[in-house]
Amino acid sequence: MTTRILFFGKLKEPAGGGERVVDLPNEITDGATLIDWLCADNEALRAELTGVGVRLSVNQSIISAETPFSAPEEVAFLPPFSGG
Amino acid sequence: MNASAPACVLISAAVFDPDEEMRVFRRRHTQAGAIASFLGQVRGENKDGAVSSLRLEHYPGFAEQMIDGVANDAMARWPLTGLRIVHRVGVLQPGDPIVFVAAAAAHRRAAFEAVDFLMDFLKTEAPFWKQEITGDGAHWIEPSARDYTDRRRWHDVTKEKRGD
Repeated sequence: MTTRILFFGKLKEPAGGGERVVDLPNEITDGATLIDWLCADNEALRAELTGVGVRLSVNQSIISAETPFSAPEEVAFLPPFSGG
Repeated sequence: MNASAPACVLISAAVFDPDEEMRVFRRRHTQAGAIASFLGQVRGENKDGAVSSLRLEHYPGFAEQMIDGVANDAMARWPLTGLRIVHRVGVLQPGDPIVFVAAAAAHRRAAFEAVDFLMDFLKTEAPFWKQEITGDGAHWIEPSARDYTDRRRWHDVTKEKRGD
């Protein structure tokens, strides 16, 4: 089961691109553990993903970092929106 | 654009013509007593100087879903006969239209308020991201404190959708 991880806006550069396709280890069960896993050797990315106003969505639904998920198809990190 | 579709939301990678949008909207709502609209355009300069272009990205699928949801909220909250929302993505030049919102209703108050509400939503709650390109380079734009304050005026309507 693969998961697409998407990074939008200002998060793309520190993430090294807008999309990663990964096999998530079983111990990744929520946003907090996902960030730990993604940022194990990248503190700059951790600072961005945990920055003010950054939201997380799973399968195109916004959740909190503590909301559990399992085998998501798509996870996205969303910096503050600026439409309109 | 499908003229017969009830869906009123378009996210466009191509330049759109707000005058034509208004003409089409008026033709669809000839019996409405009031039509209010808002047009947002790429500004020519910001506090750091001239803006050469604006890049707008969105989260495909999710952005449409979020805007459809808030359009339905607006239809439920005000007695509207119709709505139209067009939002650009891609690379835009100063003066290009970014967003067009129109609302039709029997009376003006509902139309004004619905457009105001939808713009506050689009500024802070829809997954779009703007990057201004100036002589200094590229800068990501974030909502201002005022944008968030404006958004909270309507908080009771959509707090369940905000994820907070």
